[in-house]
Amino acid sequence: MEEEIRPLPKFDYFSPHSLHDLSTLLKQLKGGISFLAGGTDLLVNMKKRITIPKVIIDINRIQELSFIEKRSNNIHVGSVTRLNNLIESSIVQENVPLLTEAIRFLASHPIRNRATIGGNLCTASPAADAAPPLLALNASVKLKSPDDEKIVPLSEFFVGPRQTVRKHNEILTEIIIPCEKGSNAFMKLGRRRGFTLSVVSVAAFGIIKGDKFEDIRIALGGVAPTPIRAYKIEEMLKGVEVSDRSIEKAAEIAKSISKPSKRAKRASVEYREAMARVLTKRVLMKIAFEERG
Amino acid sequence: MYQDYLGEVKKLLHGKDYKVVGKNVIRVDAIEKVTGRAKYTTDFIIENALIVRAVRSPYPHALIKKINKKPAFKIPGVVAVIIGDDIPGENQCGYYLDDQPLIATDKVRYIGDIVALVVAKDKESAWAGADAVEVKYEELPAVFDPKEALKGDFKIHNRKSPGDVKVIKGDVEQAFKECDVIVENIYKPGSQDHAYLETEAAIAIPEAQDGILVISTNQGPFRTRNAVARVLGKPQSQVRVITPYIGGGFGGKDTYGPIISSLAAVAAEITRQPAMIVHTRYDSFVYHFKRCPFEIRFKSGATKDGKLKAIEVDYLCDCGGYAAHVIGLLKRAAYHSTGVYEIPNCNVQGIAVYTNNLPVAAFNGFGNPQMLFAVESQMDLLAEKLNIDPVEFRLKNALVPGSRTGTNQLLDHSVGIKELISKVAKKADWVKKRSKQKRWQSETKKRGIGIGCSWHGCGTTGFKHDWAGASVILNPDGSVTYSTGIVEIGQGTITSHAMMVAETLGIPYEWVKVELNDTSRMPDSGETHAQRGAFIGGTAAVDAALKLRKKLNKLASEILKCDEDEITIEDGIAYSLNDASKKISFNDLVREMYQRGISPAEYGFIKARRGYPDPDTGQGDPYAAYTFGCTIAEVEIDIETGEVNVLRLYPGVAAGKILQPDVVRGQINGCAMLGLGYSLTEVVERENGKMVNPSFTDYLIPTIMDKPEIAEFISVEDEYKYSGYGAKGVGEIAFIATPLAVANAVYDAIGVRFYDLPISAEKVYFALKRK
Repeated sequence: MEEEIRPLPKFDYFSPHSLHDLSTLLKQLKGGISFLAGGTDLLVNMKKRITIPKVIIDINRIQELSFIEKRSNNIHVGSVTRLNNLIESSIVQENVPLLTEAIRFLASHPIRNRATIGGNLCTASPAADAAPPLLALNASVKLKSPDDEKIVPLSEFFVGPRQTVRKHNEILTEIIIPCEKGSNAFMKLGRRRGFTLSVVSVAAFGIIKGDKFEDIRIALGGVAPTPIRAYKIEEMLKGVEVSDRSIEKAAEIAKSISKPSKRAKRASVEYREAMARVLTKRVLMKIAFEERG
Repeated sequence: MYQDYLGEVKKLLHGKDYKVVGKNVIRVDAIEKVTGRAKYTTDFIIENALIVRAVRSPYPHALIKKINKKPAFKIPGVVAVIIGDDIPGENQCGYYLDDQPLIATDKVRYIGDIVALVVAKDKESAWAGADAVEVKYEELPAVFDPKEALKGDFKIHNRKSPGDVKVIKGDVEQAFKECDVIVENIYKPGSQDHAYLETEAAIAIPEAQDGILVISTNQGPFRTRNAVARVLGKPQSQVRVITPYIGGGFGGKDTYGPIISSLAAVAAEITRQPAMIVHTRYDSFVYHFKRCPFEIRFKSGATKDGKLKAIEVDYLCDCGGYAAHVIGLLKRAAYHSTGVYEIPNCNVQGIAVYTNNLPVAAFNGFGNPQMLFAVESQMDLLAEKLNIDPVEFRLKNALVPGSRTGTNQLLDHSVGIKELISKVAKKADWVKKRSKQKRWQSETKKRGIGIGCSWHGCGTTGFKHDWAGASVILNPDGSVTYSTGIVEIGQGTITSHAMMVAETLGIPYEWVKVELNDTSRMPDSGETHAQRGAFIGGTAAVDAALKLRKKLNKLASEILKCDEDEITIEDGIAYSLNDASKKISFNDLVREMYQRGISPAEYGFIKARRGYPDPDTGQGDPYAAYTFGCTIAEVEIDIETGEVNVLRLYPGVAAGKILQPDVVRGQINGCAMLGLGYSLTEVVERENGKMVNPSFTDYLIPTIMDKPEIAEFISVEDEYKYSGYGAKGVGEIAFIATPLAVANAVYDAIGVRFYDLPISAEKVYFALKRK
């Protein structure tokens, strides 16, 4: 049941201006911390008392976390980059168009002006639209604590609905996306056309050589407790001829690997599974069509 | 008492074309609204106003055993805790029936029923105080299904039903024997949230001489005033209600405006300090009353030549814990249950039933969207059985001047539905698109086209009075101050009033200033609902302006030394039609009125020209006039996902004179979107009668990206004699027709008929799978 909206609870508030200041702060604090980026999820959850942080660390003033750069063959995106800045970025459009396509219709314009890419991933909604494309693109995330820094593949980042491997004193600082030449496809099915949560979303990146799938990477949102990579489909399609039959078979696998939570609202398990099949089929057909013309 | 206003105005204008009416003037509120300067209720919040928070029942049905206020006072900032017994006047806020206490004292009847108010200096204290009030309940068995409520041993009130309605005409039993085709089905159109941008809010401020001023989100300033006066135990003159611009009403604030205003007023009266209450979006979704769900058994029959013979209808309205608006919408649905068709034999019986659900509100269409969903589905089913095209079938049976309605009302003029259906069908290219052979389709997509016809009586339903006032003051500089009792809820009515006043006086539209709505300067003018804003309220404006115009004509003829009939006033100049050199400016004319001691101010007042149907047979004239609607929808269905994509809508209205085409287009397109929501996505999900999807994440109103192509509306100007400029209402009609057209188009595309709304993608997917 939806929680009641109440006035914000009381909390301590810090607003560091650099990663260095943040590290100092994190060493002093003892937990009960929530990082405030766009706040589009956090503030609502606080008003609903789903999250009651003792301390809020506002990371919006840390300039180091807001950037989009191409370094060697990777795109690096700072975690506090707003979704609309990503959509408008020519670096992203040219190198990883799949990401642009996927977040273009994420929520609404005002929300995308506030919401950040790091926030979308850390919130770890099973239906987060930014996750499937980044999974399909083999992206990873950098996690930084006061005394450590590590890079985690996104495929290992999500552990459950609204749960990630990120520890309370760690901050997601950037997302690293390898650039590759190939075809992209993203499709989402919501309950209406605009400003809507995905019931199911599917993202795929693929290369076709001759008549065969050389490489396909595909990820699904909304069909499991976390966004998932469909390795089974990828293995099955590798080196296989592009045909209605192979695509249909891949779509069937998408259905069979879908394990939506029975408690998930917004659509029935059966419908989500069926839509995983339909969207996978359509995404693969689009890639086949684009690659072969 | 009933003037031929249309004829009088035409006579005054000497048959000339209108200068203002029918033109696309800029709305009086347009600039301030698009620049963000327009003021809404919460823009009037004053510093140090106390915050009111309601303590609401967590149980759908329970006895209140004890209320302990004391713990709330431990919270610093709490100023007062108010229970039902503290109310200074009568603890009663029912809309049509006296069945609803403002603050429950002995029992609660739905989740959210108010049991106390906490008044505090700040928001945090008010919320904490509301949590701290201890209420001891004894739970009672609750019921959420109206059929169960009717049968079972539940006692929510001392009677099971707050009211019923009958429309009995002809001999239905005999008529069905003579029918060649009969169709009978059960329809279950559901609830809907008004989902207006502005949530409910009220500010109450103690005034001089023990008066109270209320500024609030309401659609009925006078009903609000009367409700506040009642709970405060004051004469109506001691309560003043100011209604600023309203951020969407759709009927919801007709029902909840008086309630939320009374809550703020009681707090202000008891503390003698300014007090305010503002609903959060959650509060608005969960606690404000919504559209009434219906269950309708509908049987209709026709002869093989395509003539409708009879209908037999039984229906249940689930009104929730209190009667609120149900009595009116129950009756309106019955009076419109023939649809826009002549049907000689009717047996229609409706009943409202108490349950422990959230009570129901007025909502655009007021029972007609539900009833006409059944009517228009039945029409298509009959047409299919008769093998007649749905448009042709409708044309064969449509009302014409001289027809009698199900309530036996004679429609002597202003009946444009038949022409409207033909025009809309032509515009939509119906014949070609309906033909199955040439239709575009693909492996995954199928297209269909459907029609829906609606009608809606203008003005309040005939069991309640319907009147309105207006005032016009001519200022010494020639400018005009206009006041109305009608509320600007976004629909654009006050613009049409200003236009009619300007046209009638013979001055530019810009010279008329429309004042903020204030009950202290106007006689009771009823509510702003039932398509009566321009129809009744606007006619009162014409009534006032006509009185002044007659005085101006007489004065001008005296000054210009010519016959009164020769005088005309145009663009602010009065002159003789026979000798244009004989002229005087409007400003000079008005100044002369002041000089000669002729009153430059007039009130207008009118009462709707209609009757009160017989309670046993429903026979009579429940409305003065009817507006008609017809919409054709083209849909494309993704048969793999079940998504219904409405490609195009072709709306049309027969609403008399179109006063301002842009405003009407706004009304029609807005109605189309509201209708799409009701057709496809909007579901009020409930547990124990409480809404469990109370956010815009999960309550899915259509967005701009869901908007189909909406064709320029067709208008048949079937003018009505007894209203200002022959206008009828237009605010609800296009909404009602939309879901009917969409549902029929879905059937045309995939051959699946849905008997409930909305037609969600998931529902279509499973229906196709079963097929």
